[in-house]
Amino acid sequence: MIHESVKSIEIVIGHSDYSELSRTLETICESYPSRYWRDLEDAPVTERYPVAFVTALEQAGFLGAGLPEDRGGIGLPMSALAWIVETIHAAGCNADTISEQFALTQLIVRHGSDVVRSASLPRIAEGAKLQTLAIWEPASGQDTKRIGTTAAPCGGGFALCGQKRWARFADNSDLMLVVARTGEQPEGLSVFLVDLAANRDKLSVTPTEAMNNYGGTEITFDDFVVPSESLVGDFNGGLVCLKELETINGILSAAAAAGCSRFFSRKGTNYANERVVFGNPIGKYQGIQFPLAQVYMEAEGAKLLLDLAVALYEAGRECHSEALIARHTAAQAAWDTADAAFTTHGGFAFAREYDVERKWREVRLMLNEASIALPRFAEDALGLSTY
Amino acid sequence: MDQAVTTQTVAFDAGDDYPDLRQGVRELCRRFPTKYWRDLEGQPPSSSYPTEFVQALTDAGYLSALIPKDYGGWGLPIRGGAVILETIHRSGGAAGACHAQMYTMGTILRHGSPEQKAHYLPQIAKGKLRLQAFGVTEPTTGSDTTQLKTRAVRSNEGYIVNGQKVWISRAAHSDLMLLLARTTPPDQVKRRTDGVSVFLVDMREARMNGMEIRPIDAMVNHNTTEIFFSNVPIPASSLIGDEGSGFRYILDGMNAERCLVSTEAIGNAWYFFDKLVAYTRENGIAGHAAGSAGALNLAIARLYAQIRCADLMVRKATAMFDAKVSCGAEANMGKYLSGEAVWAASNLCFTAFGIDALDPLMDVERKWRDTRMSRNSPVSPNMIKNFIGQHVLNMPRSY
Repeated sequence: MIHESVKSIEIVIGHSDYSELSRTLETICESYPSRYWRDLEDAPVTERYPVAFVTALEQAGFLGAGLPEDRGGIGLPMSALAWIVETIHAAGCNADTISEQFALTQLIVRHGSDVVRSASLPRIAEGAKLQTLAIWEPASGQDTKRIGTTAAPCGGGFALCGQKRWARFADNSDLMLVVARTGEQPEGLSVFLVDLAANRDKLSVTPTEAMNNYGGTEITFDDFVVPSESLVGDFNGGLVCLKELETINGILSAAAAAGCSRFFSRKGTNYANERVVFGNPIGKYQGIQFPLAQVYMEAEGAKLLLDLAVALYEAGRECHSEALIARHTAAQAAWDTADAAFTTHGGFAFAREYDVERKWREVRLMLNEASIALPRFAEDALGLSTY
Repeated sequence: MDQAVTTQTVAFDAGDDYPDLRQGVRELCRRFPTKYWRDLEGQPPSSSYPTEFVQALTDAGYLSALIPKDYGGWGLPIRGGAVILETIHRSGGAAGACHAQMYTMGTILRHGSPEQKAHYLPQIAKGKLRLQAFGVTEPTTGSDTTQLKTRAVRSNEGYIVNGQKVWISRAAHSDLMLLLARTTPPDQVKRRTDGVSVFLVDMREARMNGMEIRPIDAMVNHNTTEIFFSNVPIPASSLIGDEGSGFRYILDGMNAERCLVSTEAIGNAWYFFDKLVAYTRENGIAGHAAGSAGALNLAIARLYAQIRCADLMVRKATAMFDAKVSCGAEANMGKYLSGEAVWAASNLCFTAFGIDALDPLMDVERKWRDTRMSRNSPVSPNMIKNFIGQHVLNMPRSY
């Protein structure tokens, strides 16, 4: 169990070789201020994808940051990918598009066959977007083993049938990974790479209205045929890929949450120092100052769990449990920080112009997305059943 | 753009570092099972000190682990001492009876004269002299240390000390005490922090010359006392460093102290965590005392995260201290997070055990009382929030 014998691994704090990238990234983020993200929320549901922001990231090379150099990317390690995601959120922007791209690309690099890699990685290097994972279904929820979308063998390929919801960015992504049932046993799942760009006429993709600019879509597969070479990982071996993806997503989501914590810590303390009520900046009052200090400490602690997961990942060591607990803890810290900043802003927290409520809604969602992390950690790492 | 960005590189091990130390301390602690600690509690304050345990630690060399090799110690960094203390607490023991030597020694090492170091450190390393008492807190000052009222006035032979200290742990079981006293009245100094000096007092002599130690009957077995000084003469040679600069010397040692006692809290937190996991496994799905197993098990998982965050923060602070990087923010955060984590751990365990928690034989209630101290001492969570709010987040001073 994880608490009985603790893996020896060195964590290095304060080390960064990315000062040049940092300047570029901060400049891009400054060009897409809060107004840009608010306006996107006001756009029709089909036009809320941050096209200009993602294009700017792509042109600066960030979208392919995780691609190996021999595949046309810049081959940055996981710590750098996490740092990019964190930095974007800390600046008040949203990194979900690029984070999906990092995670799904990483999965193909590590699990894709030569055919899959050759079919996708050169395109990704040229700017193609791989940002959609079609996994969630109304009847399965977080219980992946209940996925009902089927992939039935048919002359040299598989015919997909079923419906997915909350598949992000499918109306803007060029490539997509789909999880479908290929075996009768609960574990009989496989992952397929689908060329969205080439099949828009054959797939029904409908954006979903939501509280956040989430980019969720509903996808209907009606005997949609994919070639058998599009299988990612082993046939009926989807859960292996998904566990790997859970590790990568755990790290990148924790990084996103860490960025949001930084954003709200700055936002909250700045306002506490500027806003004068009862003759003092409200930050002088312990009722305001203490919660901000407390959530800062909580977030700094959570950041170390992220550093731990990243260190293990980069050392090529098993870190699924560490990524899960990092994700859970970072999301909780981000929510506590966001809510403390929200309270600090009083009534103005509700005013969209103050740009508190948008990311506050974003962070709230992180808790839901992380909800499976804690029970899974309890089971896998501590051997404790939670249901 | 953001606060508290560490610019200097610091590395630390996130795993079971110093495995040999851990193993050795675990084996030593096996000779002092929980019954030993329970039985001590039944004794009057005068005989509740874990004399045999402290002697065993001394004989094995653990208490002088941080003293440089030149002076007869092991020359370990603070992290080495922290691992020793963590292991004692995770094993069910309590290092509060002797941990002070680890950090008070540092004040002599960093600020003592060559003669003082040559005279005292080898004797402390050999266990011939016990340096366990740290005389800072006073009844009227609380966290506002610079307001201390104990005076040391120069005389022909040295100084005459008058005043009162309180919550001075282990004083009855120590030969030496680091004493903080004012040498220049507050109205004659530029800053409140000036005019305070540190002395290394030989308590064996002082007790014969007007110093009185009275035990305090407390909720925890910390052998704590109050000390009264009535015209106690101490020699000039007992002054550590420069007269009037003592507050700075004490601050220097505080980060080391915080790293060490925070790691003890981590050890206690793991003690409760181990106990909780074992308890829930044995009691299976029923989890009779705490309701459904799912709720308790999720709480245990959440607790793991809380303890591990605190553990990593304390390791980070300690690594920075050992690397001589300024670590005030991290040491404070580590202290806060570890205090909250150990209290969460002991409370969850207390709850899970239901009415059994009251039974001393369950070894829950004794440590539960012990761990509450991590949220009051040696610095309060509120003062840490003040520090973070003011010095890290740059908000106005609130008090």
